[in-house]
Amino acid sequence: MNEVIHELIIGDPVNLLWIGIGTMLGILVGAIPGLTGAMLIALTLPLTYAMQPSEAMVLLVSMYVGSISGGLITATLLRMPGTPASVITTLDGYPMAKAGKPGRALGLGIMASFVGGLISWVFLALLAEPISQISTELGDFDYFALVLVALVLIASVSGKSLAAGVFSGFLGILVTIPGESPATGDTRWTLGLEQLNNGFDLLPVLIGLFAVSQVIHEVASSEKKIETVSQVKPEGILLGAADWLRHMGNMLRSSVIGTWVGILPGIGANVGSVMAYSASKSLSKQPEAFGTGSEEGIIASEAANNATIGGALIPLVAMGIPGSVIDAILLGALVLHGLQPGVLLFQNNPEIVYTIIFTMLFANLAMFGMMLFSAKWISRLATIPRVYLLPIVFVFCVVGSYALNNRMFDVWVMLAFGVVGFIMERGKIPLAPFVIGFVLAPIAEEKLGAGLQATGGSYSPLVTRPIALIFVLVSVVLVVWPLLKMLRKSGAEKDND
Amino acid sequence: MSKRRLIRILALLFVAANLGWHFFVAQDKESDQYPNRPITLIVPFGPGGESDTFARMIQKAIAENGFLDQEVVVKNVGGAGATIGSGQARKAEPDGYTMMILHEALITAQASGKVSYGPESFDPIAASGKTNMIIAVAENSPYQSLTQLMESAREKPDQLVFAANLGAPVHYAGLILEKDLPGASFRYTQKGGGAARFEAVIGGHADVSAFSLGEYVSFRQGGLRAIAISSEKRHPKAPEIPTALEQGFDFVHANMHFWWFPKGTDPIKIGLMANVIEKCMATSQVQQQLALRLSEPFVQTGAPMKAVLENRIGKIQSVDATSPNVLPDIPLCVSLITAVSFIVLMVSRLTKPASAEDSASDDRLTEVTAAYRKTAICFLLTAALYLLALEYVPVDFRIVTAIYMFSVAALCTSLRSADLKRLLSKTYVLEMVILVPLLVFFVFQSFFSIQLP
Repeated sequence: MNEVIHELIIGDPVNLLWIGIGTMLGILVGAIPGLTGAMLIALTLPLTYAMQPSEAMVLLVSMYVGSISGGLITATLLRMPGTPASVITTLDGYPMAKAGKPGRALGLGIMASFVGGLISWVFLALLAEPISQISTELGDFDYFALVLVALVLIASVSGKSLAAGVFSGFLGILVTIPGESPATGDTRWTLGLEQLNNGFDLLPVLIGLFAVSQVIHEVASSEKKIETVSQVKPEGILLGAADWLRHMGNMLRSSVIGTWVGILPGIGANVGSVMAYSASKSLSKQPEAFGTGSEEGIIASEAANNATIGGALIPLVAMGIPGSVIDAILLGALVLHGLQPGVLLFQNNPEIVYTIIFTMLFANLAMFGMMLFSAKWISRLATIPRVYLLPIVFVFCVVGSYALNNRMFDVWVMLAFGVVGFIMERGKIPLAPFVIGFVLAPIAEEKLGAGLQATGGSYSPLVTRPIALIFVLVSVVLVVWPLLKMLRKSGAEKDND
Repeated sequence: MSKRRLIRILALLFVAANLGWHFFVAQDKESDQYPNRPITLIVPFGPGGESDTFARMIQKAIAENGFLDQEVVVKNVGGAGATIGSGQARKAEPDGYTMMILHEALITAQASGKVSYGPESFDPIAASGKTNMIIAVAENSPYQSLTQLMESAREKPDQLVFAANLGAPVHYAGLILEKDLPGASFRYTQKGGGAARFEAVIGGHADVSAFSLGEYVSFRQGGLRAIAISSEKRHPKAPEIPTALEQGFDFVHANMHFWWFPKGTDPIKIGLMANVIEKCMATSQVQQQLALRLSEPFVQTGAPMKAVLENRIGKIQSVDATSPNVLPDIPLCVSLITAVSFIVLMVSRLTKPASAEDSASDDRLTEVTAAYRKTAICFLLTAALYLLALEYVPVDFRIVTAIYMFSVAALCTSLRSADLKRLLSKTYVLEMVILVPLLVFFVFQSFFSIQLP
């Protein structure tokens, strides 16, 4: 193990260069909507054919770390989620940046990303093997019950009006219906459009809801005069020890949630941040601040999405099971470099396994340094006048949605959801529950479907399997609790009258 | 003013460089001989899977040995059981510049009614890389042989859980086995890729599943036990696995990656590409990588390949892939609840109008004035026009985008002529609308090789 560290740092300075290049490219690509880390890594793969396998993995894993982190920049400053993983960051990052604290919003996000990465790295380095074995114990009903808990939390992120939140959440679920059923593979509600066979893609919908609706609003509500670049000094990027300590509990919890979500295959970084955000809100002393620029919200989302990296690498190195799309590409990269992923990777090629593990650590350090160093300039983005910013943002939304699958259909979807988001915000319907429903419903349906297929239609494992039962009970409590609270509150109001 | 001039000059230089590159470098490459530009290889799955890895293996061999003058660009178009990608390949120009790699999923998607088209809509180029299938159970499973397993599936029909990828070749492996022992039936559960099926089997969530030999090699140390292989004779590298045939089941099958052109492609181009794939399969690097996954470096073109294909189509169409539907009607439930929650929301809004305090606290809610509404609609109309132009008008992306960006910038002003003049003379908007499309075009098209509309 020491040899690997030695080799990574001193023995081969080229590796340090790859870490630097990979992390930087990852951050850039992560920040631009439509360009995803998966795309960057898939495109870089052919370029690594000439490299040593270990060098190739250093470059690719660095890109992975960078791309999950970079999304927070545009999410915070422009309300444009660079990757689906950072969409939850827009909920609080953007209001905070708009309130004149773009530097601090970025600083909090960067700190949380760093800590999230570190904590999940500790899990990866120490517990890769035992943890990945436990994760196979979870059955379909356990997964379903787990996702159910997160879905029920929609109620807790609905803001002022419970009815509006629940409606928004179900609207998000409704949008997942067209296309291929995740449980059976049959297509439904496609209106005869072949393009709709795969449903609405995550990124165009999210870009539409958040970025395009914002562009519409800004274009329409300008005070109709041409501004010049204002010279706001970004402050508060570097956080003091007090900030670190104050948010440590939240960061730890969110990182652990992110790591666990990362381990579970098929559930990616976006779900990690959704779950951590909901958990933080329901445990927070100031839940009402969430969605209006809450520091805890930014921290929860960013710590969790970075923590999924280490989590998802655990089953990859221990068992050859990819925890996310990017991990699937890394798996392919191992094969193309003549290595056999799987349980034997640890025994046959320990140097590769340790290279992957330590690259994650160093890339995380590099990401922290680069983001902090450049945040001062990047946060100026928030002060660019609208005549420049809005056309550029919109063109990037268009190109980004197009580039995802090389088709105009996704661009139209983006524009349509821009209108939907715009109308929802005018109608004071919160967007957060929509996103949660939209992200989680397909997983819930897939797991419930697979479970029912295996039991021949019986729901009984939901109460006979202990893990499932615990989650089901938790979600029941989460439904009943706010209702009771509301009843008691309205009762108290009546007494006052 | 000198800063302004500097920026203008830089912008002009950049435009000149871009145009220069376009006219000299880009056109230099044109020649009459096929191929004179990069060939797109559609992989109808996300990156990282078995098909993607195989496609990239061939891409690598072509590039490193110079089998083609042009590069092959892998384009992943995943989703909906490979039908999004195959749909795109089917509609592509049959000019030899779009190619697809897809195994039997092209046949099974048609057989299970997912799409209306199948192999008949394409011109096959070659079949390559034979990988046998493995029927496997968990290490601690009571079933020691395929015969035992199938007998049990007959005694307890619809009880043993088979982890499948519904409508895909793995699912058909189970269906073909059932056909050989009347009365036996599995209960299929949707799992998807090899890793997910592996997890289901070793976690005890499914009794049995089918894997490609390559997947089995990756996973066997994790607690998987093979009870049958789909080859005619025992595999030389894994002689301990009995064949399905010797256990009395006519399950002889090997996954092959088929290469396709859209229907109507020039036979000369098909021949040329078939030859390239044959040469790739003969390279030692491809053979080594295949050997590691216990695949054969098999390749077949022309009439023999077509015969194999016909045989496969017949076998797949002979079984019925429909399984009983045990799921609740989820679309109906969701739409009902959404409608109910909408009604509840409306009722609560009407009975309790939002207090003034509520709307004041939300700074994003500026008053909706007539001007606000007008500009928003104007913006949406221009955006729709822009997208329509991109999709249907054969004008360069850069020009349409430049015009559109300017119109958005203009919408940000009050649209009086004085404003527009100011926009042109006092700001950098003009530079921006010229430079940004060029830059975007460069980054996406040249660096990420994404063909913009």
